[in-house]
Amino acid sequence: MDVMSNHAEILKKIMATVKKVPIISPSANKIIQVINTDNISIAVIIKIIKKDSALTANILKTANSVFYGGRSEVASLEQAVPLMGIDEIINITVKNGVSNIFNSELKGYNSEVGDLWKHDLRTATISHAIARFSKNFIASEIAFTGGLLHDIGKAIISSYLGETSKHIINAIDQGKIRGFYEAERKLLGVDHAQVGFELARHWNLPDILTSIILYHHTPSKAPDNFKAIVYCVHLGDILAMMTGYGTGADSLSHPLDSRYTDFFDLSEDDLHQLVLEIDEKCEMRHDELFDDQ
Amino acid sequence: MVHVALPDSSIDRSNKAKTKPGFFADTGIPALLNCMNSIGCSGPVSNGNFTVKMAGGASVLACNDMFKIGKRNAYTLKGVLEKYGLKINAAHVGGNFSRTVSVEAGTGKIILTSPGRGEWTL
Repeated sequence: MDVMSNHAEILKKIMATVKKVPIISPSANKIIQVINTDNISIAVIIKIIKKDSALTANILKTANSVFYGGRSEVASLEQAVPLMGIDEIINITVKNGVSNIFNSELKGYNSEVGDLWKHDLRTATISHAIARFSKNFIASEIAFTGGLLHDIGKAIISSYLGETSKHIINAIDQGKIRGFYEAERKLLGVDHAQVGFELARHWNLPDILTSIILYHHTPSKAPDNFKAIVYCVHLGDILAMMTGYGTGADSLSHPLDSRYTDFFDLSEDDLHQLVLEIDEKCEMRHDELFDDQ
Repeated sequence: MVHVALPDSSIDRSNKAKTKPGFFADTGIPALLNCMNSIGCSGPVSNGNFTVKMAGGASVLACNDMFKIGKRNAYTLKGVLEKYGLKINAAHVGGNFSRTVSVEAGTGKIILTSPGRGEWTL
């Protein structure tokens, strides 16, 4: 595990890679800013989408798909956006806005093309569903967006991890390291959450999203005002891995922070209901969103 | 082969146990046996007729009991199999890593893979 002994040098290279990542599309950035307000305006969202013809086409295509009845009757964004819901609009906008990131192969995690997006979409869907179990109000649209973006750092550091996953797994099995992200830090001097945070800052994402990305494995360290939503995405990430949608070698190798109970009333029955609910929701989404790509 | 996600179908309020009985451990085994029966695997149900192998049951690192759904799935499956007089011939369960299971139709060989851990036969 000594492939990257010079942390300062590797950090410099990773940061240079972050700076080279194309910025998030203007429409994705604007929609993220809108959902980070108290009153989410559908009219404003539609106005933003209308200025992006590729995004408009994508949304109309999805609105007319089997998932929404497949009647080919949805001809305008005014019909499509309320029909699909804000989450689906965020889903399509973010996927379109940063597509190269989500299509990365993640060789360092022994993960295939498409796995990162599937994991992120499942994390987003679960985070949105878990928000209703929070003791305090959580903006479920932001939890959803945070779920989509929480692992963007993996796309950057994957190549720097090289062939080390086997050694990392051994170290975790032997109890030498507490989790995969800690191994990344030991090897590279930085973990995927920290790299994702730098990328989110490069994209000028709001603080609530940069915090979700930075602390999704260490939620107790999040600023107090964001702790509940960070725990929400932390749980979403854990449950995505538990339900078979990880990103390869690190699946299930990130510890659960049981202090989530400070923020959530979640019984065993609720947890099982959630597994059932998200399976149905994600199954439909996957059929619709992956089969034609 | 049946791939279960939850131990107990009694929580089901969406009729999933009927449409996808394999989702639950308690309905998955009867469904699998019925399916096998329908394609000719009939006769007295015992280990003389079947080889039973089980894989999975992993948990996320450092989780509390409530999150050990995989462990409960494995435990419930074992109980249901026992009710049918079936013993597990081989198992690879537990730990903190995911497994992908495939069956080699010609030989009946059960192959497990896990990212970063390679491939092995059960």
